[in-house]
Amino acid sequence: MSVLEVRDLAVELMTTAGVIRAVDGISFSIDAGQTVTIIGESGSGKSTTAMGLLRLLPDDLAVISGHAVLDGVDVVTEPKKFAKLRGRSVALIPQDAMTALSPVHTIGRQLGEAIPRKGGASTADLNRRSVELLEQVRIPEPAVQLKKYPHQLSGGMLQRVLIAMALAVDPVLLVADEPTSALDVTVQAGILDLLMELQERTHVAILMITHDLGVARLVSDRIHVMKDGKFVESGEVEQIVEHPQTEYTKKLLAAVPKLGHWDGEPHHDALEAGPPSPYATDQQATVRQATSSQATTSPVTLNGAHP
Amino acid sequence: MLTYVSKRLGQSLLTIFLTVSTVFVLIRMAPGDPAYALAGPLASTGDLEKIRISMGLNEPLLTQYGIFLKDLGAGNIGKSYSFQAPALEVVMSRLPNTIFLAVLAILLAIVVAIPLGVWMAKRADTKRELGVNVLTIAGQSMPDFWIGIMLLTLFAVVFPIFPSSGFTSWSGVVLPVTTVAILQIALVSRMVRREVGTNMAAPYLTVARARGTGEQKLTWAYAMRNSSIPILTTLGTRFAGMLNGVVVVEVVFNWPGLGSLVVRALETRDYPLIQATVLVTSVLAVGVQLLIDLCYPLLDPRVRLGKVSVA
Repeated sequence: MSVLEVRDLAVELMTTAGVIRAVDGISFSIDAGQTVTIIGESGSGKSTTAMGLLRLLPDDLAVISGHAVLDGVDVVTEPKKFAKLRGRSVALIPQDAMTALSPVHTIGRQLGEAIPRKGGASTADLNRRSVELLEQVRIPEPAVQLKKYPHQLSGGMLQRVLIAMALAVDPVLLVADEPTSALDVTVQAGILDLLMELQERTHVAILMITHDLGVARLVSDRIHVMKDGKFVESGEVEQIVEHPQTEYTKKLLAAVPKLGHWDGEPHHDALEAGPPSPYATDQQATVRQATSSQATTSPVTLNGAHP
Repeated sequence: MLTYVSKRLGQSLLTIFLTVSTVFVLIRMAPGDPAYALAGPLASTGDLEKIRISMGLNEPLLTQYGIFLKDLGAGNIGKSYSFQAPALEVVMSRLPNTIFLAVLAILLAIVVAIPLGVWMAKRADTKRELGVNVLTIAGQSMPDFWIGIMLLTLFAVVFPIFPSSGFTSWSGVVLPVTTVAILQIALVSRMVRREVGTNMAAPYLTVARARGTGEQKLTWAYAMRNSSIPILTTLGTRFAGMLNGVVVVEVVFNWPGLGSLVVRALETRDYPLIQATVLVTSVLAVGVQLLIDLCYPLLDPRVRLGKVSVA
């Protein structure tokens, strides 16, 4: 029984220059205890997929359509009902831990907010549960950290706090939007290990968003390769990495730096550098049909679309 | 923290000293003669000279300044020429009226502008918000004397609901306070809109929303709380500005405060009275600023212990 079932999901972003189809009819599902990864370069629509599924895109900026059922609630047609699931059955691990917490509130205050309060729970109970959660993500001296402010912790520690926050609710699905992109490589491994260990214990399903093939290879059960809002290839990890079927996936694999001798020649088969323009060309932008899925426009990421 | 307070206190005293000294020199450099203003156009040259000597204005500027500082040290600013009373006493007798006006106006501004600004931030770019936005632009563009005269014409003359001038009853307070508050409401609400709007789009707010935090809490406990430093700074600066006497409004409404006093003091070249007003208002303005600076560490943990680090 899958936790998340997505069919023909599309996200259209309203911009002053026109409508951009950032996510263009994707379908996938995630079972309990499974990790499904969406991998793609900047601008492929992977983060927009994640934020769209959480209904965290501004309503006046993004129009979401298609079919997505999470824990029995239709994300697309029942936004009010779904809003109640946020922080209950679904939790987010955000991209940049350094900006993901309010700078003027303590760690304890913000973590405490994520903990569901059952009837009659006292402040002491809340405190005990907070300490417990920080212990679970292996933060030293949890009671001391609770009184600190975000600027007093390192990025890796903050990401652990955010994972603790996500776990506070016993979610069925964790959406991890590039959880390690802003972190040092040595810290990345620790965070990924922690996520895998917690998944083993709680059987939570994870939707992993990343551009890092190394991360995808390490954590995923299934991988979807995303480009221009569509899945160009889907499959098991080994299959994608060992026997890529499409040209794009092959290039993506070739873009991974390798140790060894370099002959001094540039990588000819490497991907073109930089994200694609959301408006293919100026002329195309002006004649583009908003609803046409055939339009030759490339989508933008959430970050690119936000004002 | 203690060294920070004493350092800020020292800066404040220096600011007050420089302000008072600058004004001392400037008013003496400005055209006009206190003796002439006091004695009138019929006085003879000899009479004027006698008056000047009695005021000590025949001395060189530097000597006058020395005497002024010595007297100031002894707590004496001199006698007002036109009131024939100690200048400081005259100022202090008017001060409560100005403080009263300023406090009521800033309270009205807070009560109206903060909810209004938050509303504008949350309804940004809707038609209704655009209408209110245009009104706030109008509010900050209209000169206060014009607003005052319009309110007077409308609510004291055409519909005589409120008295036109003076400070005799509570109903006499309404029009001057409204006049002063309109500009403040317009400025502060636009500022709140900008700050809260920025914080509503911040990553931490999305993350808080993702963990199920309610919309009210997101708005007030997060966006508003994170906007509190710039908002408090603006409110403090506006308030300090009003303490300097809301000159035009006080004149329009014949309000017995510092603003109307300083206009009269300038007209009569009443040097001691001008100096006393400047001293009192600069102490107040600097005091309010100091108080706000001392509030920063309470509002933002990143400013604590004198270490400013913006992550």
